[in-house]
Amino acid sequence: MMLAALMLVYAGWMALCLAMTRHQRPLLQRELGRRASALLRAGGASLLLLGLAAALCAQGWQIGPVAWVACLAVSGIALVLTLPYRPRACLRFAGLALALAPLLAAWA
Amino acid sequence: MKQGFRQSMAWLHTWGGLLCTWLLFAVFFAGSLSFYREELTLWMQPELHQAQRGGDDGLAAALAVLQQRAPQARSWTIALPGPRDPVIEARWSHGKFDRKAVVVLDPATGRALEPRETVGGSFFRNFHFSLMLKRTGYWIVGVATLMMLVALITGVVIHKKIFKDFFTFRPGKSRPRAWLDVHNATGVMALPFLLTITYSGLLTLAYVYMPAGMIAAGIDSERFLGEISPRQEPPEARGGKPATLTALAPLLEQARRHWQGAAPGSVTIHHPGDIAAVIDVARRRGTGITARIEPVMRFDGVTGRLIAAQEQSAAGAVTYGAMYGLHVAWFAEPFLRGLLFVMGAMGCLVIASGAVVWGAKRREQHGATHAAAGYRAAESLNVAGIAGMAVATAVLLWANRLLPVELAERALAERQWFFGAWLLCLPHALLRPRVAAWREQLWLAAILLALLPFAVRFSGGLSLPQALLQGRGAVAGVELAALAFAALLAWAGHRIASVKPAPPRARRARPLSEAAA
Repeated sequence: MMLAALMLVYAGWMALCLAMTRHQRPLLQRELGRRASALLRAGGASLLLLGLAAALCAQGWQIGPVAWVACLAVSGIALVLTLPYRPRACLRFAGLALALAPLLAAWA
Repeated sequence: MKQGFRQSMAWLHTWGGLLCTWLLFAVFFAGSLSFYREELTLWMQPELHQAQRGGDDGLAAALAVLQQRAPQARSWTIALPGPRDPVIEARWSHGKFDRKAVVVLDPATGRALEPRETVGGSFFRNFHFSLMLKRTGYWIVGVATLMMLVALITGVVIHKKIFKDFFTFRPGKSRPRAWLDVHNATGVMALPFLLTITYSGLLTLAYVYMPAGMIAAGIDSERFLGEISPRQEPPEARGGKPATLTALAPLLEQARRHWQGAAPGSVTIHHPGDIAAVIDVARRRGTGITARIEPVMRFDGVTGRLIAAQEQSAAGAVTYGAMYGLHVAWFAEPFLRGLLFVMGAMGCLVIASGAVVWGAKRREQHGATHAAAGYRAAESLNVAGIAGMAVATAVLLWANRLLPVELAERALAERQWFFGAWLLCLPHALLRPRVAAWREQLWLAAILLALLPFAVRFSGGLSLPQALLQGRGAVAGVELAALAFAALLAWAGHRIASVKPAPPRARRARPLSEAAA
């Protein structure tokens, strides 16, 4: 479940990153419209919140929020430090993370 | 000051941060390692590597040893094995704490083990809040921690584009720019952690830093801490008649049921063998987020009847326990512990990258050839404070393996090797050119860490393949982490070595305050 939280949060950061005009060209080779960006922003925020839900399920109300903050920090810095070197790989990994998250949640 | 608010904050962030950089890096570095204190302690005692939980976890053996060694003791304390600590510890006391009055047992076989004297992982824990200077150290670290809090808040104030630059890292740009991106991104991503760990760190020693409340209430720090930790009252005097101790296992089971499955962590037996014997069972630490306020259940030592189950701590104690618990993270299971360690490393990266940005900006402004004594000294301190810390840690781990087991004051000798190595890094950094100093110290640490798995030849204990095959996560984890860090440090040394010094810029660089924003 914790792994699922980490994956959801990573995908969430990626969606929020994609919602920013500055990062769209290196990641997607084009710029998205205002509507698509807004959708990505909402999706990213929802994924971060889903990550919180997963962390709460895994660790309960006392420790869950701490675990969520840890997921935010670790997946966030992993994304930022690899993004300029391997933008496409980051994007693919985010897609994979999103696909894996429900499986991981169901498995553990 | 004539400048604007943001500029004065930038000044405070730059110079206040610089002043405490080396100390804060050491504190964060050692503090991060403290997340693995028990694993490091186990690794540093190869004599315990084979210990394994099993059966009654060695309870009967511990009682037999205590009966044999200290039948007349005032109390016996048995620390039960846990998920991170495989051995059982039997202590006795004749009224005063005696470090030597302890036997360590293998829970599975009940055999007494003789672990070497070592500083253990506790060294990093103690170093990170006291610098091994006792109260003086508390104050030095306290001032630096306060500065860290100031640096975090001023950092947020001067970071104008905190959202726009949220995911920004431009390694292709100029050195100071790229390092500033690293500094900003790491700082922002780890901000909740950094604020929490800094603030809760201050609070753990609040009774040292701000004793006014205690003084007003007329109590000393010992009494204060005693009132925070729930303790049953000292038991009544000895009865004077011998009696057989009740069986412990049913009491532990009762306690476990009472705590809804949370395991007991230790058993204390007052007046063992006496008619007035009393047994206190304390819950294992790390059951909830709070620390230091683990509940205690008291039983009659002869009949096994429950005397008292202390339940609720006072609100103040719970608040302190929660802040303390957030700091020490005893609650963290392995996955979360790993994340916490990475966040600690991010804290180190924030501090180190801040120092690098400072140096790179100075060089950019004044040209690569600029060598004013003050800047040169600060740069050397960067090398010795950051790379030197890695060297000293690797040396400490090697000293643990190589120093003879029978050496008197062995733990002290290990400490001296750590501090000696760290001190030697400073003249090296001062004497060598800047890039060479970085590279040599990083590579030295990398080599020492890479060879660490071979140190088992000199000490006995589990080798890395054995530890992996037998699933001893703590032992294997320390060595795998050493290998991973060796690779990281070697890569960092390689990157630094490949840097060409930037030509001095024609135009004067922008003022720091503007560039930092």
